[in-house]
Amino acid sequence: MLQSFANLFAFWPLFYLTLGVALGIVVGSIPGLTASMLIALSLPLTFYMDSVDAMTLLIGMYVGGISGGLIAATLLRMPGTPASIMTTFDGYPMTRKGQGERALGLGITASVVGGLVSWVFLAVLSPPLADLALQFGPWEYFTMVLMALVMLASLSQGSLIKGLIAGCLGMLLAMPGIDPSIGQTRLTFGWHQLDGGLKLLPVLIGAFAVSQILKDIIDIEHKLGHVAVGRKGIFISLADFKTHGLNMLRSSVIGTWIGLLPGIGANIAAMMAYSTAKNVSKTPEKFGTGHEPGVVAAETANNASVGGALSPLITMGIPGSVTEAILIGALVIHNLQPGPLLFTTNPEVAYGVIAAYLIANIIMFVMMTACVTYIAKLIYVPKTYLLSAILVFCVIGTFALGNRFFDVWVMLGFGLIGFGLEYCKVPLGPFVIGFVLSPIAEEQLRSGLMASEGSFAAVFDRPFAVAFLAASVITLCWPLYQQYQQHRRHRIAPETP
Amino acid sequence: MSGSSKQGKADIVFALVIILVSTVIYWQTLVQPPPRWSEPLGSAAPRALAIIMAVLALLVLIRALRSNMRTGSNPADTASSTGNTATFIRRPWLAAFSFVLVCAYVAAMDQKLLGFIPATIGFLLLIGLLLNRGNWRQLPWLAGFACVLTLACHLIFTKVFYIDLP
Repeated sequence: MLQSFANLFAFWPLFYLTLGVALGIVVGSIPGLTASMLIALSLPLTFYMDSVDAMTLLIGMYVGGISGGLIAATLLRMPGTPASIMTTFDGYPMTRKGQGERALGLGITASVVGGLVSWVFLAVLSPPLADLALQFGPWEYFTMVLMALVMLASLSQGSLIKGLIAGCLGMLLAMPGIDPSIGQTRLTFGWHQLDGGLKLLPVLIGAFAVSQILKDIIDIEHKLGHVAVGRKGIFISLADFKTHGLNMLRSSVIGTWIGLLPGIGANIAAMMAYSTAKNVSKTPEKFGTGHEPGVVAAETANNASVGGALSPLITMGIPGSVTEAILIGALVIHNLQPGPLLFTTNPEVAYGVIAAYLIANIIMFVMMTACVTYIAKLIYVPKTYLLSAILVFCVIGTFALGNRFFDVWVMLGFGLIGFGLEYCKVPLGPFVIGFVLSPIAEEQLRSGLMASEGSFAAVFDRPFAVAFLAASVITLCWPLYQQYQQHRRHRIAPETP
Repeated sequence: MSGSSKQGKADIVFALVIILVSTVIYWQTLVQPPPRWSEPLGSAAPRALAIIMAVLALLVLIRALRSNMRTGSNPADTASSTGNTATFIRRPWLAAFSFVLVCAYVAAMDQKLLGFIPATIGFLLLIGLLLNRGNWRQLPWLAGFACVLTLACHLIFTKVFYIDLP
């Protein structure tokens, strides 16, 4: 670990980390652009980088992207990233009251506290978690992937059924090409260009960048109101730490815990922390009217969830959210196998990610505190130039993958699919995670079945696998149970006099 | 059209498309040759996924049809859900034209009609004008932006990353 910190303080790693954080903050602060989009678009550029440097750059972008979303959420009530939705509830009313700088200052400090607390969990929990994961067999991995997909489908926006369809569709679209177990092509419809399967990057860039650009073009007439930001109030005092310390700590733990659960992202973490802060508050009625604890809870939790989510990513290769799914893609592109063996085979990458996460949070804090007044101006960059430039980056970034236009057409196709899914209110998260996890799930299921001579009963001999399976079943049945309860209450209510 | 009935129609189309995709995939798994040696999973994974997806899509379809019928039979629902207060005009056609333009840009390079530099400059100029809704006064700015961005990309990709652009 110490060696990773020492490596990080060389010129190029620190440069990449700072660049990543800066780009992340800029992109996160512009409504309509997200950290996932930035990371997906930057992946082709990391081919030529050392794997540790590449991960350092991407981790910087991730931390910056999640934190940057705070600015537009507070000043314009437009969450820069989905993770900042809860920040709008109190951040924007504070701006309306003339306390925009104060809200930004609290949000920035809360973000760094959330990041630092979750780093402690990440650094302490990851090595033992990786040791535990080493004992996992194919059934554990298969049921864990199943659990991740079910959890993500049930907690994404929209209905559970649509989330499940999205997950299945993502898994199916990852299957064309040569079947890794038997060496025969499948689902190629006689189209030889599909023999190698659909590559991850065109799918990611299409689903996240192109579909988002199409949505932004539809809303291009949306003019943003102008809010000036000064420096007064950006720095918070020690007394503020006393007032908000407990909230920060509680929200950090909630955020980290939610991040640890496979498949659940920063927006859910912020929502849970916000609800908890409101429930334990003596003045819950003030939440939503520009109440400081609301901003603190949301921003602490969304940043803390990043650290939590990085843990299952590097220890088990299971993404905590869409952005982590893209990071798994980055590891695969660099010929690294995400999972418990990463700590043994490539410790410099595993510990490098942990070290980069801590330093990225500190850089983010310094950068946001020092430059928030300038960053706030970036919200107003003309969309015409921005969107057309991103479209060109999408095309050449995808072309650069393998110097073939087939990938570019795939990207455009997935752009349309992503746009269509979002139009029908089908969440993209399960779709992409299904695509990423499909090969792992199939491979593990096949290995498990081979070992048990085709019997599914073997899953019940493995306690962890049973636990994961039970969690999946509960997650699936819980919304149905809630619906039943609601239905019952509605039926009983009219009968009550 | 009300928001809920629009969503209902989108759900019906979505469900039908998913059922079609599932059917095609299921059919494709049937025509696939059997594995050359004994293997426990075979085509079961895509087949199972196609069936699950079709069943779920059927549920979405039934739900959407029922909700559409309810909305149709109760005009009050339609009236109450029409209070959409968008403060700006949405431009779906602009997105459609932009997408067509990107496809034309890619096709021009794919078919070797144009190289990267002329194609990208042309694309940036056209999409810039399209997004500015034909505001010709923006043309000098757009031209400058297009040239700088194209040349910078060309330089970075060919001289730094050693990638041959079309």
